[in-house]
This record gives sequence, structure tokens and C-alpha cells, in this order.
Amino acid sequence: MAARNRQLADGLFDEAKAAYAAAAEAGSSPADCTNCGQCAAACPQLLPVNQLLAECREALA
Amino acid sequence: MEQDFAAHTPKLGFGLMRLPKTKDGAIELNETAEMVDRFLAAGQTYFDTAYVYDNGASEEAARKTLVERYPRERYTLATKLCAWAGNPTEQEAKAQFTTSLERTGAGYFDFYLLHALQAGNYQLYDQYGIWDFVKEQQQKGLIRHWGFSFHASPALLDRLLTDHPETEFVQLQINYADWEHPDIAARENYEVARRHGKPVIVMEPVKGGALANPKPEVAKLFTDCNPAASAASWAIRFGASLPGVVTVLSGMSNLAQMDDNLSYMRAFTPLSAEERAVVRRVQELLGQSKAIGCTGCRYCVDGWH
Repeated sequence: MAARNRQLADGLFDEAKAAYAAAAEAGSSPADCTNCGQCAAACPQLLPVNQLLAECREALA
Repeated sequence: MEQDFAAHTPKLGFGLMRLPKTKDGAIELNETAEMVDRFLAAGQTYFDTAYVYDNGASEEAARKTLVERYPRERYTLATKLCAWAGNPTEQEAKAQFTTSLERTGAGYFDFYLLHALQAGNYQLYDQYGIWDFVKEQQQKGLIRHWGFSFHASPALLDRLLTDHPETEFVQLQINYADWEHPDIAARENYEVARRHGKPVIVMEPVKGGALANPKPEVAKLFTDCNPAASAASWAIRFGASLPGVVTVLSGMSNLAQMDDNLSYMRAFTPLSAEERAVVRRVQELLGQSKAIGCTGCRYCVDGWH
């Protein structure tokens, strides 16, 4: 999400892609999401986390 | 009737969810202890942890850096029971209370919360009898005050406070960016709590740190008004300025954040009319933001489900 916000909030696409790549390398890749939805159920910000992860992967992978 | 504790609690609370970490991800206890020292030396008293924070390491850090180093009457400690994270049974959920007492070594909790009530989980607190359970612990003298933290609609908050009028306080996500947010509904939830006469503890005043590093046009509005004030100070003072707010929890992660927060909260002054006007202009700017409202709390990972 932090990587995606570098793009959406700050307009820094290259930095966003680099942050996404670093997170993926560290083992936090949205590509691993199975779309089970448990993350969204736990989110106190009521975010559709699985949907946002898919958009993040689409935009930055 | 306004609760007595509301009048006697300093306005800055130390949230223990985002403590400094070592390279291997463990809580850095030396820096945490120094933060605790500076916090207490500045006259602040309120510490907030939870059974689930850092898989229990936050409560243990509270014991090592606070409870074992200071007399019990020097501080107040809050922790929380989560009936839904990790899908506990009723027995397991209630056992969190004993575990929290053991981990912290605090002997009792000044504040105890039902953790993160949301539309999809609040039923578990009824089903497991947690409301009565915390009242039983209070009668035993193991809890001084109890309430709940909440992330859902004003309608549900109204219902919960109507069904449980004995609730002593509520903990709400309040910051200027979420004040009119359609889902977070900070203003409306705050107003519901006030209508029920409940003191409010503010969480996520800086929105997971996002409001400490605002975009340049927002930062300019702040610095034009007060060049010396940090962006975080605007966010924390916004929450602390609201009537009925007991304290504002800041999840500080390093000494610099602690020092900055203490610099303006040691002798807190509410936002002036001029400052409130600046915040309104900032809210207008943020209303156009496309940013995802993630606060980095990691509830979606770290074994929360």
C-alpha cells in the first residue's frame, strides 16, 4: 500500500515501482494474494485490501 | 457525568503499537526505555498496548521498560482483548486477560478495552460474554475502567452504546483527514460518543504517520501559519482540542517523535481560531487526494486472521 501511495498520492511512479519491487523481494508480494478476503475483514480502515492489492500488482509489477 | 479519569489524564498517550525495532524486527528495548523515561519525565502518564500488538511483544516491552522500572502509581496502562483475531474460542479469548496480566506484570489495568469492534466482529463479544467478563474483572479490582475501540459506522456505535450504557469510554479513530471520511466517519462517531456522554480516547491521530509527512501544498499551509510547528503537531493538537477527549494516542517509533510530541503537549494549548481555519483549508485539499487510507497497522497480516 505504501508503494502504491507513492504513485497515487505523490505522483512518483518510478519510486513506487522500486518500493513495490523491494517489498516483493522481501516476501511481501501482492502476487501471493489468494483473494480469500480475510485481510479486508480485519482492516480497521474498512479497505477492500484484496482488491487494492490486485490493483497494486496491476499498476506496479 | 464526565468520568473522573477524563479530567486527570494528560492529553498525550504513548501508543505501544509502533515501537522502535531492531534489524531483525524485535522491539528495541533500550530506545523504548529512553522514550518511556522522557514521556514520564514530561508529566505524561497514559500507555496503550494490546494483547495482539507485535504478537505479545508490545505487552512484554511494557513490562520491561515501564512496569519493572517505575512505581505502579506513576502511570496508567491500557490493554485490549480481541475476540476475533486468530479466531479464538470463548475460553481462549477470555484467557487473553490473564495472559496480558502475566506479560505486563502490571497487577491490574487502569483501562481495558474490547478491541477493534467492527461490523463483522462485534457479535463475538456478545456471543462470548466479554462485556460481562470485563465487568467481573472490574469487580475483582483487576480493571479500573473499561471501554472499547471502534472502527465502524455511527449507527453501530450508537447501538452499542445504547445496548451497553455502562461503557465508561470509547476509543475512536479521529484525525482531521478522516473527519468527514465517508467510511471512517470520525466526526459523526465522535458526536455519537458525546451524545452518550462518553469520554473519547483518540487513536490514529496522525493516520499511521501519513499526516506527519503531508504533500508540499499542505505543508506550506502549516508552515505559513507556524514555521516552528511540525506537521504531526497539527494532527495531534487537532484531536486533543476536541471537548471530551481524554487523551490522544501517538504510536511513537523513535526518540525524535517523542521529543517533538512532548515539545508541544507538555503544556498543551488547543488550536486557535486561526489554526482551525488552516486545518479546514487542509481538509479541503486532502479531500482531493487519491491516496489509499492505509495506516500501516498490519492488522491484515501478522496473524490477525
